[in-house]
Amino acid sequence: MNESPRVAGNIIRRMEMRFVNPILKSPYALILPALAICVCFSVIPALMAFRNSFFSVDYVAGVDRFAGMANYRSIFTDGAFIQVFRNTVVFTFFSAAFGIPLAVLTAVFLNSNSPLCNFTQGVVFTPHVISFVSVSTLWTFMMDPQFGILNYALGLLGIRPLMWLLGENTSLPSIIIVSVWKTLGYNVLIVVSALQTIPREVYESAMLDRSGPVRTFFHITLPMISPFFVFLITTCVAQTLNTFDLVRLMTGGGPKNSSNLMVYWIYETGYLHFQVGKAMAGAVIFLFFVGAVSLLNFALTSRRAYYQ
Amino acid sequence: MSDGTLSPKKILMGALTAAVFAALLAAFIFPMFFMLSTSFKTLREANITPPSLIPSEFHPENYAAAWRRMNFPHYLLNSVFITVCTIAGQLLVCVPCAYAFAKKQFRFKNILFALVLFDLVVPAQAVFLSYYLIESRLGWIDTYRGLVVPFAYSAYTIFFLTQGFKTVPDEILDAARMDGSSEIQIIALIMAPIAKPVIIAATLFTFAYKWNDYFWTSILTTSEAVRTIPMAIQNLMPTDHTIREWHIIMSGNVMLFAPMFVIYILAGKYIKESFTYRGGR
Repeated sequence: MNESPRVAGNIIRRMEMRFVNPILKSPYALILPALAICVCFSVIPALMAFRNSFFSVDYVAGVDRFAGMANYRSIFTDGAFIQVFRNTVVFTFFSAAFGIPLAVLTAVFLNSNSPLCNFTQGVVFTPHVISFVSVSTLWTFMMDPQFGILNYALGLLGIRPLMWLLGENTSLPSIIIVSVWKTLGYNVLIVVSALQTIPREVYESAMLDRSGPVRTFFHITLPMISPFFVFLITTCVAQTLNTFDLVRLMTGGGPKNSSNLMVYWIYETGYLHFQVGKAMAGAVIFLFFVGAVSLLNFALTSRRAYYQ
Repeated sequence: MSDGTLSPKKILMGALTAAVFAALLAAFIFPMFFMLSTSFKTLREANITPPSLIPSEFHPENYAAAWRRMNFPHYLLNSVFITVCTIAGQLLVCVPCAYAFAKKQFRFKNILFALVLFDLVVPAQAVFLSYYLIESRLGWIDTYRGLVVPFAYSAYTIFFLTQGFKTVPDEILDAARMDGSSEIQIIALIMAPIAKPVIIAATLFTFAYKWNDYFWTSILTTSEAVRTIPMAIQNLMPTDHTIREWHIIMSGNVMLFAPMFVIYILAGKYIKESFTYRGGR
């Protein structure tokens, strides 16, 4: 009786060596599952988006015919697309313009091994592990124009209440605030790990040279962590360009498209309004834009920076 | 402070440091504290000005109401099931793939590697409509496989694991192969234990990503059947223009927040590491 599991194990092992192993010896077999899913769910969708952007597609009516540049013409004559595109650029630019310097300052401030610093860094990182849904719900509550605590705080400072998410001029800045709040901890983490690559001796000799904290920051700290900026800016830009959850959950793109961003516009046009061709044309333009931004970012920053 | 004197400059610096700590902690702890506090209030107290910081009376039954109205257990089970399947799928699909790219020489390797990393260049969010069209043609909308199979492949995971596997010495793998180990044994018994930190980091990252995912779940589902907890809170939002019951919504939000928060408290070090690892690429 004791023998039987071992015998069974031996049989399985022999079968494996005989039939499975010769297949798995081939690297192509090892990469096949990943490659198959990649082709079906990444390459083909991208090609489909490209193809459908030149077609007039209506799955309900069964229409699917070549339409030339009609979709592209329609998005450029449609004021909404231009506005959404501008919103996306503004949103991404300000998220990075506030988020990254704030992260560098916070990281320099917290860059020590004291318990208070570690605790604060842990607290600042918390929103990053929490879902966008939770964060959006919380901030929508605090930004409520009537009962929200933010307007109450503004009132204490003698500032008139804002409409926040419901105002045409304040909706986009509001979601920028939430986006910076959510991603700050991640950016701080990256900068702190960059700061830790700076040898202690560098700071010690700066001290001996009587270099003040501000001078040390600009002449030593910043140049020495510059290699990490490529990564930081790239991830920050890529993440904010693809923002969907905040728009979907907090403003629905409104009021009057004032906080609508590209991915939400594609969702609205193609998924909610069934204008598939038009949405895909927008997606293709967006893809080229994302590609151009990452190339530009890479070219500008890689001259001085290098990867680990 | 070492010389024991308190110059005005030092006092100013100390006050400034304390102020920055206070501002940072307030900006990040206060919203979460206020969410927790509101979750125990009555509807009336949740909507008063000035807002109260501590509820005047505690109403834990808000949680029971949120639990019931969100149909929380159903969503929680879906979340657990889908996240576990996705992680298992990624290990089965991405580990062998990364092993091949890290340790084997073959024709078209560079082209195939570039193809597998396609997602790093083309953000899938931009072409999600095609995803939707493909899945609806396959009949995968509103199914578990629709939320698991496409996500068993991840360009990030593959890239990250490949980098990690490259550090495993070839000699150990060759010795095992000489001893008659099969490829499965080499991956599972030799490669994986050596590269354990990388695998754990990748798994935690996938976990956080999938557990929190709202985008793909909202696109690829049309009914409650396979939806995960990030979508549950919708059940608490009024569909018409009636007043939002913020005390119940905040209870629901705490329930949404809690699992990830507990894991972060328990495994924060590893989670942070998994995020910085990705930074190190």
